[in-house]
Amino acid sequence: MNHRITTGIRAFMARDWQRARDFKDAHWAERIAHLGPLEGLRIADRLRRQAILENPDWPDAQSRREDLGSHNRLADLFARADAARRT
Amino acid sequence: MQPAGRELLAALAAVLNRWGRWYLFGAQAVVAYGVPRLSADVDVTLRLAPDEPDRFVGDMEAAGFVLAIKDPDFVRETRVMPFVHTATAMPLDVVLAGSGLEDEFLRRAKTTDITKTALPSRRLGLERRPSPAGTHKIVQPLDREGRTTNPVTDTSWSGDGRSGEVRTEDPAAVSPDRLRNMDREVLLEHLRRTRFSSAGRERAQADAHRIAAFLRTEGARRVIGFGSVFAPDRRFTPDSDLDVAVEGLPPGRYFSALAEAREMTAFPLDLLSLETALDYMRESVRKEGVSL
Repeated sequence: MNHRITTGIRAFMARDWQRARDFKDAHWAERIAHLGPLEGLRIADRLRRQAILENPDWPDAQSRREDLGSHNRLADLFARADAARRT
Repeated sequence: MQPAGRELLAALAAVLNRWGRWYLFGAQAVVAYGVPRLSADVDVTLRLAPDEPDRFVGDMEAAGFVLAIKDPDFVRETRVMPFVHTATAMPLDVVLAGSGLEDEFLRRAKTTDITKTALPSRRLGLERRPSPAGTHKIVQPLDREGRTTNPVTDTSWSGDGRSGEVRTEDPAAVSPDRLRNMDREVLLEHLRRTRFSSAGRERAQADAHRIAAFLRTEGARRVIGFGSVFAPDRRFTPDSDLDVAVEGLPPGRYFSALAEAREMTAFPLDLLSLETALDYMRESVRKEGVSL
């Protein structure tokens, strides 16, 4: 029984998941390329609605703080890179 | 319902365009370039001119954006303004450009119109021919979702599609047989003009039949409806997807057919090509599909 479960898990893990990911990426990229950027926003909106459905508090205060922190770090990096470019 | 990102960006652009050069970055920019991503917020960089953050905040508030941090030192020290767009409840971070590097990004930014979707007749090579003789051109007001306001009294194409007869009727009442017998151009004209108005499972099913008739003219051998529209035991809302699977559609016609078909319904349409569908999707269609 255990052997069968282990074999099943291995078979599941061994599936070509990368191919499935590539297929999906190519499909959405082609769809947005043909239908325009608004289609991309529509898709992103549906992802967002699903995320809020599962967690109505998303994004929470902590993740917002982290997001603002990353903006600050990025601004610092830009400033340093700009200074280095000028010297 | 328009996407929250689009609604936010439309309101935002009206303000930012008065305050200097700006660009969108982060996940929403990646989405516009063709890679769907889950994103909680919208990020823009703005070269504020004149550099009057307080007055800028007042302008933003008048446009429906509320500054989410009340500490004035925060903005002064970080040069980041976290807003919330009240209409969509979506966070927006306005990063005030500070370095020459960001000026370089501003110079390289490309302007993209995100307010429009592709028009199949212009973008996808489907030339729109003159309307057949006898069809009756009408201009009707559309609501914000692009739906007709009064379809029952629309003067829509009817009859056999060739005689030029025009009379008033409910467009959804046209039988699938009559749709099948219409000339392709007449059919397209009819379908465009008779977009539905009210939400409802029956209306979505009627749309699906009309779309199926169109897809057959594009070469489809088999068209199948599936999902909540065709499953009485599943929840259906005006935002529900209309799921249609198609077999036999020439590969080069998929996107043009999808664009045309989306013009025929106000429900979000998912068109699944059975030839390229993943196994579990094919299985789902096989189990619960309804032949159209």
